[in-house]
Amino acid sequence: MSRSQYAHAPVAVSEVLVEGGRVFGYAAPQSGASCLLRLSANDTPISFAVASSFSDAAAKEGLRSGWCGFELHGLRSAIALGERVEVACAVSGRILKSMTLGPDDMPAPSGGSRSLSVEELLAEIREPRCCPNVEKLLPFAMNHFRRHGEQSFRDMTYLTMLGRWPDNAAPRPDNKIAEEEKRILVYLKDITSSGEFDMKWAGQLPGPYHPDFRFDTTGLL
Amino acid sequence: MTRKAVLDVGALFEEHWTGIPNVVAAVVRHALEDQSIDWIFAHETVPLPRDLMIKFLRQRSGAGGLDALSQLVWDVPPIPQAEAAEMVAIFPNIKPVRRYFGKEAAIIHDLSPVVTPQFHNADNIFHFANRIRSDVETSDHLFCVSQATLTDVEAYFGKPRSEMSVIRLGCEFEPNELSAGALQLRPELSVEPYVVVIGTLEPRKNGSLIFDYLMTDPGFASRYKVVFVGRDGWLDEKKRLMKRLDGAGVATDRIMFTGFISNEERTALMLNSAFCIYPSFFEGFGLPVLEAGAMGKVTVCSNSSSMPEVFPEQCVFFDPTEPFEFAQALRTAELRAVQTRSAGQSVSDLLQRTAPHGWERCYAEIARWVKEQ
Repeated sequence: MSRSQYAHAPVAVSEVLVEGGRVFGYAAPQSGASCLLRLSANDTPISFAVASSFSDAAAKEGLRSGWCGFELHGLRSAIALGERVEVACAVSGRILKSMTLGPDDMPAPSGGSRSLSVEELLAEIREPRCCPNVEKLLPFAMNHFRRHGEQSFRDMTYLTMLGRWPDNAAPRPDNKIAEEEKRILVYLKDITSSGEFDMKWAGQLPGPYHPDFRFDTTGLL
Repeated sequence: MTRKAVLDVGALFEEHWTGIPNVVAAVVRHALEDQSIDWIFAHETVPLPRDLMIKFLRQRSGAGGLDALSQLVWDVPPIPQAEAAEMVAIFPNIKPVRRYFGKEAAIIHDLSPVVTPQFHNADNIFHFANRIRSDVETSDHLFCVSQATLTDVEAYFGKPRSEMSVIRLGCEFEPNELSAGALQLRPELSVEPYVVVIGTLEPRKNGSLIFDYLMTDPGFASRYKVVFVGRDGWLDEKKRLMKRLDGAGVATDRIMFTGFISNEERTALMLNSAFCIYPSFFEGFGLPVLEAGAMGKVTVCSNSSSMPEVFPEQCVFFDPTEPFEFAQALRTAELRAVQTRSAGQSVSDLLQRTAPHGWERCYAEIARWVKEQ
């Protein structure tokens, strides 16, 4: 028994692509939690990934506002281990893509390796759960604002972006901006351009599956 | 007839789960699957819907829980005392009610505020000390998280051993967490050498020992970045530690404080570290030592209180009051870490290696006691 069964749902719709030595795509459940994918070679698991990153292709298909993308690392290791390479739903076991691959199907190693600082390692691990830009965050912010009102929106913006509750000096959305969506976007941009935000996130922006994300996702995921 | 039992889940309402909330979450996960006991999840005497438990487990946080609770206390009647008298209750933390249920058992994590008050602020000591004696006295059984904790409870409160047992805490790693941190899947990436010091920042964790050491061997910080993983605790420990850095002769960018980070990030940091350091003066158990050991990491570990019980085969022990022993232990760990190459394990190896250290044994002991009542 593991945390997975509560954290993840079976795949209902998916697209798995293998290009340039990468395995990626999107996978969406019927409803509920995000999907967990498994890459295996001759039945030996190589790697797992949660379909919780932003995918333009999924967004175009109208799936979970685009937040069901994934990338499975380790294709090179898989090919080294066996010819039969599969991508499966790790909850139901259903095979989503089965391939017969050999060393020629993998591009030659680039040779250059990238040495990460610890800060960069953390950013790399966090990246799949991050928002590519503030505009992708806007639907969730608007959803929260409309469902719960300005006070709650401001509280959750602070918790999500700065990891703390707003204090007395915390600004409110500028009501002089008549258009709601523009008002909220300006507010988000002001927060994300602050030194405090930069200190906490170093330029990254938490997406809806990041544990610090506090906006209401009802109806969007 | 299936035994009816209550599990107090008050700790799950915390936004950021560490320590005790993680223990409660693991027990809840197993309880949800256990058909042999009719579990009622409760906050004090208010029964909570199973859906709320599943929501918490999914988001791994109690965020939003207090809003739900404020509604539930109006909508749902408390468990009537007459019914409660026929029930068994488990309290995984401080007891919110006493002698309300027919049989009561509590999990004792540690007596740290009583045994080592110098590491706690006054409010915490008074809160704990005022409650723990009554909690112990009104419990039919105590589950202690280590033999050391059991011995402390026996010594301080005279609780008979026949009314206590030791439960072995567990650790679990999701396959996606292990995959995210497994850099061998991405041969184009490597990471600078570093060591991790895991735990909430507080004086009891003895982080200042590392700064003492760096003053005598600044070269260590040139070889390894020192990464403190854990949220800020009490007594302004981070500021105190940073102040030590002024005289340490070590560049400030060689020391890093992550604050609270997600499980995935924490696992990745442990997995790719050269080794882990756990210099704490006192622990009830020491979950990070288990987590590191389960992943095959070497831990330079304090030999105080419960810590030698946790994962001795993966530890290099030292006396946390002896800087010289600590220095020796670091040298041994550096040598062992080079030989074990634990960062190069495959994900399937890691899954196999970590599997025996789950929460099954811990839950089974609690369930066994419930069924015996």
